[in-house]
Amino acid sequence: MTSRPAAKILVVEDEPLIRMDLVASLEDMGFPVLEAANATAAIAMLESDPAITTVITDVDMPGTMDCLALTFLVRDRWPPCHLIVVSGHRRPNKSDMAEGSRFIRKPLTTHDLHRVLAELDGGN
Amino acid sequence: MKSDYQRDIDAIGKIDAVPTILDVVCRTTGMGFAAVARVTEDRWIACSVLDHIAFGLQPGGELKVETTICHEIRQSGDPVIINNVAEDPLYCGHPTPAMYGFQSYISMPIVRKDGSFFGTLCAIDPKPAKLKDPEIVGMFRLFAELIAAHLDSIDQIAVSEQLLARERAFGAMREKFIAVLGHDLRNPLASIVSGAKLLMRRHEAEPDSRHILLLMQGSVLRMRGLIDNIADFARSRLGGGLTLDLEADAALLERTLDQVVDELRTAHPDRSIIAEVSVDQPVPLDHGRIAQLLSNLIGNALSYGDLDKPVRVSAKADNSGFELAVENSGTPIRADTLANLFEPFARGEGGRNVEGLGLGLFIASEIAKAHGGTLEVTSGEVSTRFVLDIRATPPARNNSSHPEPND
Repeated sequence: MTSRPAAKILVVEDEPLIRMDLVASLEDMGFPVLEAANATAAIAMLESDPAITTVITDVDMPGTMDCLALTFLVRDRWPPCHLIVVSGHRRPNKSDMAEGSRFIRKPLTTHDLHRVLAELDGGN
Repeated sequence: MKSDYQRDIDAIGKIDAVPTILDVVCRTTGMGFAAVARVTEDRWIACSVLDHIAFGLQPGGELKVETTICHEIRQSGDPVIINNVAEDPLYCGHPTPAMYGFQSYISMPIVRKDGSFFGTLCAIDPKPAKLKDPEIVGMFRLFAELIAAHLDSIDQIAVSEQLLARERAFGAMREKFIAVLGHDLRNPLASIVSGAKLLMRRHEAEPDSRHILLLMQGSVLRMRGLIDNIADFARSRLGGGLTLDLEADAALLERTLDQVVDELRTAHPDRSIIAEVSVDQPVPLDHGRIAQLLSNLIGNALSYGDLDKPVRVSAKADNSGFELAVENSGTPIRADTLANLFEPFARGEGGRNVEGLGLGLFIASEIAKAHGGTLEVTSGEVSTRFVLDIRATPPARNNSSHPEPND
């Protein structure tokens, strides 16, 4: 699958300042970005916007569904979607994330994002 | 039923002196049966017994309390001594001697420190005996007091053990609390970092705002270091130790080290930090931990080194492993301080702006250990130098484990 020109990135992060910072970095890199504060809002956006090709989500989030469960749901309902999991703490076990999920440790650098996004695009 | 007083039977069983006491009692008085009995309102229970006359009681064995003279002693609190039942005006008609078939009888109350009645030290024999004698009575009184004192100290130990166990559990809870608190403080702190970055994006061109934001970033950085160290210290006390997330990634290592140096330069714009990083080979490391270690070492060098001299950082990763050195000029560390430098809460003298706990070097050495490496310090007239050494293949080459200070 080739990357589409309007490919949007959805950022799922409950801390508003961290979310704003990440969104700003991605926008600086030239990506159209959508943001959600929890998994429920993220699912609603995925349902309404088929242009979302990448989901970046934080591990520790409040609400009914945690981010790792979100990766499985996204993998199931939107199989081509790229998944990036970020955490400031422990790296999740491979089996705790949906297949093909990539992990980046916080604090995120533009360099990390570039690298992983390029790898995901190249890999698929 | 029996288990109600098992605790008392066990307590008497724990007193090593009791069998000797019973033996001495029998030998001194010539009586054939001696016992320590627990006596309550409705029970008479043998706790320890010496029986030469086949009276037939074992520890745990019971007599009907209302048939015993001990029952009366419990009520009066006074000893009862009978040399010869047949000649005793008070007891010749008493049903108990007839029922149990004894002529001589002595029973001394065992009274606890709090005044409560435990039971008796008693002896009987089918023959008369000479018991109303100050030596015999004094001996019984002394033994009864000794048994009471032992029982008191057994209870005291049990109470102390309970307190200690509670204190230990509380201590562990406190450590856990600190570990969790540290973990939870990281998230709001990360928010502040992001907020400062967002503001910097907008106001970088304004010198005043830029200055304030840089200072904020420096403060946040120090706070993050403190939180990391405290949380790790609590975790190490909980016995979990440091767990590593190892990755061999040369580019990541270089970036990690550069980032720490950059952050500290930003936080200390008036100081000079000279860094020389050469990464030729990826070495399996926990990069977050290495960042923490380097941050602690540079922070230490900035606090204790001469203000007008640079802090020098050198890092080398190659086939043989990873070596990281941090060096500062300044007064040499005293020998006695040097010996305990890596202990938690160790504090040097003459530090400026030093974090309050003295955990930085301890955590740094724990990180080195977790990697199977060493963290060593040499301090001389010219400089103080910390060297982290993580060998790729531990025992293979060991000729450079004590690097000499050199620029």
